[in-house]
Amino acid sequence: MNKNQLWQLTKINLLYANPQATSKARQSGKTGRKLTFALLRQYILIGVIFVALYGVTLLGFNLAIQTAIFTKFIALFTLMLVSQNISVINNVFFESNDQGAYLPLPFDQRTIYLAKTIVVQMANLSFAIPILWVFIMTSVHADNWFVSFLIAIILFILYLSLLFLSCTFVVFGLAQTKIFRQHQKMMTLLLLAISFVAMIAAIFLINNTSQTMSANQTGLFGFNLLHRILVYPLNGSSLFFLTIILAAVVLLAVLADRWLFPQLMVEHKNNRTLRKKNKRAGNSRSMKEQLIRYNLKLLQNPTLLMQNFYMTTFPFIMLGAGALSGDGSGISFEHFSLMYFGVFFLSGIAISALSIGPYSLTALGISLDRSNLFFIQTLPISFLVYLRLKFLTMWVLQTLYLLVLTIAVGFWLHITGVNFVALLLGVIWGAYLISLIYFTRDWRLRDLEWGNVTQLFNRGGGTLVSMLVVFGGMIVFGIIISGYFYLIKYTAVSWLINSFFGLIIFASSAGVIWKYQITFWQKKLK
Amino acid sequence: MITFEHIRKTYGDKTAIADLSLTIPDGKIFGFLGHNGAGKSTTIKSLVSIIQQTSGDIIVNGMNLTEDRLKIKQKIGYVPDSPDIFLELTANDYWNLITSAYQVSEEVKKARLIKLVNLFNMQDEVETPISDFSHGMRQKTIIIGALLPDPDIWILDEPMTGLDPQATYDLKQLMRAHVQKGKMVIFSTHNLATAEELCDEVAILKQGKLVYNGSLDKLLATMPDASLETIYLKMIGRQNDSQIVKDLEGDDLGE
Repeated sequence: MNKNQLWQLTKINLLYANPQATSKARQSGKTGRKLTFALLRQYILIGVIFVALYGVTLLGFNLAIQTAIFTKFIALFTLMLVSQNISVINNVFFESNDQGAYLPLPFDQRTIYLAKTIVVQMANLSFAIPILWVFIMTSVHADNWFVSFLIAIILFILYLSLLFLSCTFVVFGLAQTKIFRQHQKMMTLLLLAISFVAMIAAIFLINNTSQTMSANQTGLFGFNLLHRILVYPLNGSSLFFLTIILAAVVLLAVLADRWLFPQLMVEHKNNRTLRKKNKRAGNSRSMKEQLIRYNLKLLQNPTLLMQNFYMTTFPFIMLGAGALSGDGSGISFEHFSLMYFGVFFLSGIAISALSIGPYSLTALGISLDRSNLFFIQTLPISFLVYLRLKFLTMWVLQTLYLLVLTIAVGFWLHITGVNFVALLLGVIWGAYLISLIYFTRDWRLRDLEWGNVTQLFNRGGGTLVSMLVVFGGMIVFGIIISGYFYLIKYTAVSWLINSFFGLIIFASSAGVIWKYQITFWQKKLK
Repeated sequence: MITFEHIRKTYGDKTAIADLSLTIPDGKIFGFLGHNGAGKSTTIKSLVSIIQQTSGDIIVNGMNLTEDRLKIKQKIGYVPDSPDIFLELTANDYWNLITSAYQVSEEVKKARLIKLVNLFNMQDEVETPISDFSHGMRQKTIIIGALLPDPDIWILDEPMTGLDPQATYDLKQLMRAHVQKGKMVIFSTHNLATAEELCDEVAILKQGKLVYNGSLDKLLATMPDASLETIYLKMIGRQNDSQIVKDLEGDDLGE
């Protein structure tokens, strides 16, 4: 294997895996070797932070005897690592769409895969390091700590390889199927959704097991075998399990080398053979229907949908984690009277305000057009009507997803009757207002030459600002809604309180509509 | 020398190339001509390993492409029909990637790069991401990359598209200079004037089948007063174009 080629390919895949960081580093004048090291530094930094973080966290445990705690941590980080593996393997091997570009070049396929594998492992560091720490912290408390420590290092490498290879087989195996090639975008979305669910499952796992597991239990099956290998490394059964893991890794590696990786060439070739059959031209559709269909097609980007799905759900996870991880019995809104109608309506608005952000469909719709936007301006249709149609399409979809989440949470919290309706109306109205703001923002910051959709999320402050908005919004809305609630509860003039808050909501809504709808649509776009 | 032996390429029930056999000699500029969908790009993509033929053999300097793919790739420099590749890289990153793939030494790379970058006037753009380039600049970046290893076989798929007149002229000169070194240039084009100006030999394809393969001079000699365009259209074009144009111009569908 040519080391120079491996280095060059690793550098390139590093750039592909970190488009925003690359762009920022280039803007600050970094190129070539400096740029590569700037990207590597972020992985090293993550590694150092996680070593410090988990090193301190695990100091309080004697994992050599606390098998249940060991298996809980390993299960948690394994699930997270599986999730990360699936997502990153998909990004680096498939979403990068560079297979075709390498084909005419005289690179050995193995060198390309190894470079990509290295980058996947770098991206996995944040979840791999905690596993290493758990292994090490277990081994240092074992009787024969020196042997255990060496075994911990070996086991970590084997375990990481096993997880990577298993996930590679899942992702590549799926990619070989006819259904994946015919519905690549949908299947990619499904893969990312699975990885997302695995991540959520991991979060709830740690919440639940911390309450139910005691130290002297044997822990989760499968993971306790790893514990046995670490604590009793020279035991016959431990050596047997270690050999099984080693054999599995070797077998998967050989299969990957001989069968899986060469299939990628075939996959690329066959992609062309599975062209979709020509559908009948839908010439009976109206222009409006055609434009809605076009706008829906713009959303067929798995990264966009997944990011939207994740970030929209994030505030629900933050708010609902406490209630959902228990049995929810402590919280019930079933017997709240009609007087609280306004509180629920405002809560609905708050849900929308916290869930809609730079990753929302209405915040991206215009930029998703890319150069089509210029072309549409040349068509003999009203550009204003086109943008309105786009806004409504994106708003309806975004709101539907928010409503599904709200209904789920509403049932869980036993919200009933008119208050439930008020909550849902609040979500719809809030989503409309916030979407107007973000749609205008997308117009103002429109980027029609983006390469990777994540570039669109990072406009105007990016993820940091949106997270600050979420946390800040939680505090502000928390204070306002609590104040509203207690004023209704402890004063006799609920109608007056409701009228006051109703007026504030009305005035705020009118202000948003005036600025972001009437002014924007009527003046700027005419 | 490159030999295509009974090459067939199908996509499902659609045949892109049907039993293509031809020979491309060293030291010549060889042009693939044909309408859209004639099979030019498919033939070229088979030769550069982007796709694999359904059946038949491609022999390059005595080596079978299926068996010695990596060795043959080392001999080929390729300029694709779309220059929208490796957009996240800067021009310099891309050239580094190419020289590592072809194992070009640092000294040789530097010497060639200076000449080529100056020729294509890209001195101020070497650290610019390819995604920020115009179509023509991307094309220049890819052309420079293909020439850095000084390949025995230089293959260009529709290379003139998007290039400015100066770059087009320079590219033609480079193609001529390349064959003067005894090397081979293969390109596909729709532009018959360019083909007439550059090619020593041509292959004319129609619906995946070879209509003509041989010397351009011999082809032109078949109709001494006619241009390549006239001969080409006589061979594979419609025969009643003038009537179609009259019909279109005279219709009142849009009135």
